[in-house]
Amino acid sequence: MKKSISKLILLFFIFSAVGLILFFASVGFKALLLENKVKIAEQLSAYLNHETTIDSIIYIPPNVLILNNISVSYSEDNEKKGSPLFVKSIRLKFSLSQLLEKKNIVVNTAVFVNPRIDYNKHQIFFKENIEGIIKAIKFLARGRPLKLVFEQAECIFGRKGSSGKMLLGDAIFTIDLESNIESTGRISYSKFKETDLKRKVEKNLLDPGFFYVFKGALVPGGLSIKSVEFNSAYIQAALKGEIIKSVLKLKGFSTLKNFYGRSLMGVSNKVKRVLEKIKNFLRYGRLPQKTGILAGGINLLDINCLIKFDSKHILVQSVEFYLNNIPVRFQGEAAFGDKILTKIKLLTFPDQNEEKRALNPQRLDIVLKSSTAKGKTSGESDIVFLDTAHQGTSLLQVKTSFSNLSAAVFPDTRLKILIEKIAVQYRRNLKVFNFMLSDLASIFNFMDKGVKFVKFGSRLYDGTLNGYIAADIEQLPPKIICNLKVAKVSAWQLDSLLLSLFGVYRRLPTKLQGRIDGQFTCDLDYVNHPVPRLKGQATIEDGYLDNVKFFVWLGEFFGLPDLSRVNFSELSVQFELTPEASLLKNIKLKAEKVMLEGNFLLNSNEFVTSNISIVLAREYLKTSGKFNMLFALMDKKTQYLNFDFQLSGIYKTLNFKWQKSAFKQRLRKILPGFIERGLERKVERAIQSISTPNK
Amino acid sequence: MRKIGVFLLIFSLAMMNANSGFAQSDTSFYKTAKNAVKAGDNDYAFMCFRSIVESTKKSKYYKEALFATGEYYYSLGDYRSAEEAFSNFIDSYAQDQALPFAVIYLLKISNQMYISKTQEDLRKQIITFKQLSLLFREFKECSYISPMNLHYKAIYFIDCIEIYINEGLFEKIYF
Repeated sequence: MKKSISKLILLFFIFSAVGLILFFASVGFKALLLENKVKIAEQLSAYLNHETTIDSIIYIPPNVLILNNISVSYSEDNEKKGSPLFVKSIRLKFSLSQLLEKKNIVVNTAVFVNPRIDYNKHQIFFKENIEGIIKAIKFLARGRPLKLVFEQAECIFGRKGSSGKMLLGDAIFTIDLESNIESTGRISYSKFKETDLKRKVEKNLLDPGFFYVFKGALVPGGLSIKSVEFNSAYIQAALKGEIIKSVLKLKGFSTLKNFYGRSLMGVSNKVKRVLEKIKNFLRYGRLPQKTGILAGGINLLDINCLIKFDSKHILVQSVEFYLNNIPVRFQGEAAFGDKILTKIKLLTFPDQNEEKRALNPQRLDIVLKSSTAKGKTSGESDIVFLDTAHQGTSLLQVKTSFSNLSAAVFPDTRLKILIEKIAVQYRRNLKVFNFMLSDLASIFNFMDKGVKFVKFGSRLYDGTLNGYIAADIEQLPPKIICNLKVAKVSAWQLDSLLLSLFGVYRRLPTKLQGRIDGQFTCDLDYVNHPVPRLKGQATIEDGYLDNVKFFVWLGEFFGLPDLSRVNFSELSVQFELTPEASLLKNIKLKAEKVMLEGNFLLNSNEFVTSNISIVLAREYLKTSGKFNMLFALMDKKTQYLNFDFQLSGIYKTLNFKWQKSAFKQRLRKILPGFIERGLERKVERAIQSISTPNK
Repeated sequence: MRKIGVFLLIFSLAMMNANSGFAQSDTSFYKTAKNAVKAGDNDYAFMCFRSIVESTKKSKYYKEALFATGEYYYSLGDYRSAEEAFSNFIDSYAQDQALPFAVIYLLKISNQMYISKTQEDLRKQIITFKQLSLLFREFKECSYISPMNLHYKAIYFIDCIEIYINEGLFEKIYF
């Protein structure tokens, strides 16, 4: 009995002693940590080159340390005060054996709870200190295997006022003794709004983000990427490669899932048409042969990229891939010196021989160049593609160049963009349209949630161009209202464009070729809802029409060859173009030699309704050899002779009628039948030559 | 009498198939058909015209026989067969003077059968058949007498076309 009591007392003392030792060790360790909290913070500050604070350190026996509220103080300027890096807590699990044997704290697991990075506000901090962050992590591991866990990580990458965009994620990294790295995680995108007290994240429940699996290894000079896979509801990708000595090489594939099978319910017809065009452009000639590639998606197959980069230069030597079955080559370069220079070139079917490529409807060439210095950007673009939508195949080229583009933001968030000069050249086969703007000033108001608004003014050659575009983006497609006012531009600068307009949207343009000049003024309105409609009026004052085919023909018909050049005081037209019809009304030409009035309606079913009235002065008609003999038919009091014509039918085979008049009746009485028929045949041929479009 | 005529025709056709030695030439079929039309026996005439159509496309009477079969089917209300005949006609004889009248039949048929898409194409075909230059006249006209002895007339105005059959207005197309 006594023995057992003494055993119990002995055990009690042993446990008490162990408990006391652990208690004092714990208290002592805590006291040690408390004493070293400042030292740890200082060490972190040294790695990050900025003051780092830790609220508290908690020890949880036997081998867990918790650091609470770690924050890095950093300020580029007063406006950017705040912490670029904040971690709610870091849970460090260290090796007991290392602590007891070598008296070293070697961390084998670090859990970062709710790390927050404000990259948008403090980009320079991260550019300058990324190496310090990596060194601090390496210091924790001290060459031993390490597991890093990031829970509820947040990275702000865009901010406008009190709202912005951020990435949210969870990730696990493991680094073993052979420097192999494995990581899995999930990253999602979200918007947020900040109030004084807290940040409210608008979680997107429909899009859980994408998951990734990464396997790689640290190798001398860089990182070997054994495999990296991305998977989300919309995208799937698998890549492998390496980043060694500032050279990135990647190979793999990527797929935009179920693009073709996605429901288009509730989508407007216009958006459907755009999607159909994309689908047709990317259609498969044959199904992809690779396993796991989705026939119903947009696939980037056989990605092969080689990118070289350093702190001042990125060279995309080549990025090649198949966009579905379309081979694409992308090359580019960016230099970040005193000037920021960029050059981008994208070609589809880059290795196809020129003859075949010239007829390939999926051929696309894009070249973009820009140079930015002291906040001003100059550049040019060149886009070439084939248009197969209209009759035959046409080669289209759009060249744009601009100089001294600068941007500034007003305090009320409106964006102002100034461009010194913009030149646009639009080429369709051999037909070229040019226009040039200078001193363009535009103000963008994009902060209004519903309507985005752009107002602009510019010089257009020797005249001016002013206008606005408003887009209600609450709806898809956005409702657009646009107004353009052109004033006092020398018409010869725009003659090809103007004759095209008079030619009713390229239906009759090639027959209106010639030269036109005068002071051009135009006011036009465009809306895209409920149907696209372009409406307005154009006037040219004190100008001339030179060698315009209609007047050349008219001159030949009336025996007045100098009608090939008409000096006019006014040429005006009101127009309204919709998908259903193209209407030119109140067409007026006032000239000494000839006056013309009329209307012209071309319906979408290709039917024309038109009335044209031509008035020729008696004195002018006297100069005509053909008309000399007909003067007897004219009333002596009549100073002007009216010719009223009606055109109707399908525009390719227009019907022509000379309307009733006293002169016509008298003329008919004296003309023999064969001359009448001969004249009709002549007019028929002339109408055919004017109305049949050139290919 | 008419039934006897039909019987004789069927009999003669059967004989023709049984032994080519008994075959009538397309000329004789055509003459028989025309005589039948004159006699007012359109059924008998149709059988002869159909025999020409079914025998060979190379026959010099094929075009007229094809038009006649279309007319006959249309008069009976057999629009499917009429459509087939007139479609064959306009495919084979796009520049023929009878083309506007074949097209107008097709237009009427598509109207009866509610084929709106075809109607638009047919309207264009009939309108573009003749390009007008009316300097001194108000209209131009073209006419055609069919093998079934119907008198067709198309009057082309600047913005409409009137089609007459035996002086009765058959259709008017505005554009």
